[in-house]
Amino acid sequence: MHSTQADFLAQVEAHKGMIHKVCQVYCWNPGDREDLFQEIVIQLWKAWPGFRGESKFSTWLYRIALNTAISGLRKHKNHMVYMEPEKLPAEIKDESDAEEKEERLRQFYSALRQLSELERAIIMLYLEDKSYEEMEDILGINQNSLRVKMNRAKEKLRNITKQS
Amino acid sequence: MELDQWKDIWKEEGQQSSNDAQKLRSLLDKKSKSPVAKMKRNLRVELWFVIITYGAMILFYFLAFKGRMSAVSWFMLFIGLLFVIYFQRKNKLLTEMECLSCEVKSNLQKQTITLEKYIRIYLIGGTVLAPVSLLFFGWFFYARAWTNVNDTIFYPGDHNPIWKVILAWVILTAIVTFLFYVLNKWYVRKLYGKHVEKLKEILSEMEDD
Repeated sequence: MHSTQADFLAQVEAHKGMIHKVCQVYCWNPGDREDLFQEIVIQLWKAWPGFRGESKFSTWLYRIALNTAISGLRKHKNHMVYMEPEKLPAEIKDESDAEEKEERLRQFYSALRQLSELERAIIMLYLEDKSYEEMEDILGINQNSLRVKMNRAKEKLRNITKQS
Repeated sequence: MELDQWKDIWKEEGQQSSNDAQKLRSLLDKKSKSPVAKMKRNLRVELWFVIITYGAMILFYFLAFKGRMSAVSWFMLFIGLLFVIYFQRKNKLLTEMECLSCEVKSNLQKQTITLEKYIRIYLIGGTVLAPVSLLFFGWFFYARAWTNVNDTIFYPGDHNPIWKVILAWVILTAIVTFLFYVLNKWYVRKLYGKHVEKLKEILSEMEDD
């Protein structure tokens, strides 16, 4: 059904924001993020002939992107971009809205990276407004267990952001 | 800021990403850098290395020394056949190692189990080769009597009763096997140890309620 390269590229183009977010959440620096983006696209392309549309494209994409990010070995080349939340400015004054938003987002990613790989995935899916059913479909963890883990991850994140 | 308040910023963030279509298309021709893809490439290099070096040595021992050392060629052919089985098994495991479009948990389980099998084969293959080669060349030198072998404790002679010879070979083989085992274990751990630990750690977090 979706066998052509053009179909594939159109789908990836439409969903590339999701891939970028996975890279942001799982990689410390721009070089690693670029590598991971490339790897995810390669793996999606390899798996594309097997995509029959039984699940939503976004569910399929998340499975591949998270599997690639979590189970792939990535060496963190350097941590120049990574900042501990406590070292981040508590208040951002005299900056435009966009800059403030960007700064807050960077702060958020920084906090997110202090969670475990699994917790990051759960929070990310939550922010994407995925239902527990979809999360179960992507992660393979039953919904009851997911709820427990979600609460734990939220609490942990709250504590991290409070400290900053 | 509460987590729910992040949702709007989060959604906006996704719309800002830029990757033009041309760049995206060019990625499709690139080689994967995933651990499994690297292992597959390494296996192919290993296979070609064995084919070239073993092929050359087999040919050499068949043709040189007027064929007096053809037993070495036959032995290497036998080892080469074992290598074929070894490569086939490793390649099969690598093909089965991941299912990226599967649920994250089942993919991790699959990868952990298969990687552990792969490591076991690597370890057994690398360790067994040492005593087998040692015993073959021990026999070979004895059978050919090329050197004054009966002066050593490893061959029967006037001063060496058979029990002493057997004991000497058992001890030597045990030491060599043990050394190769330790060396292989260290190497395999260096190659895959951290990765397996990481996979197990994530899996245990997934299974923990």
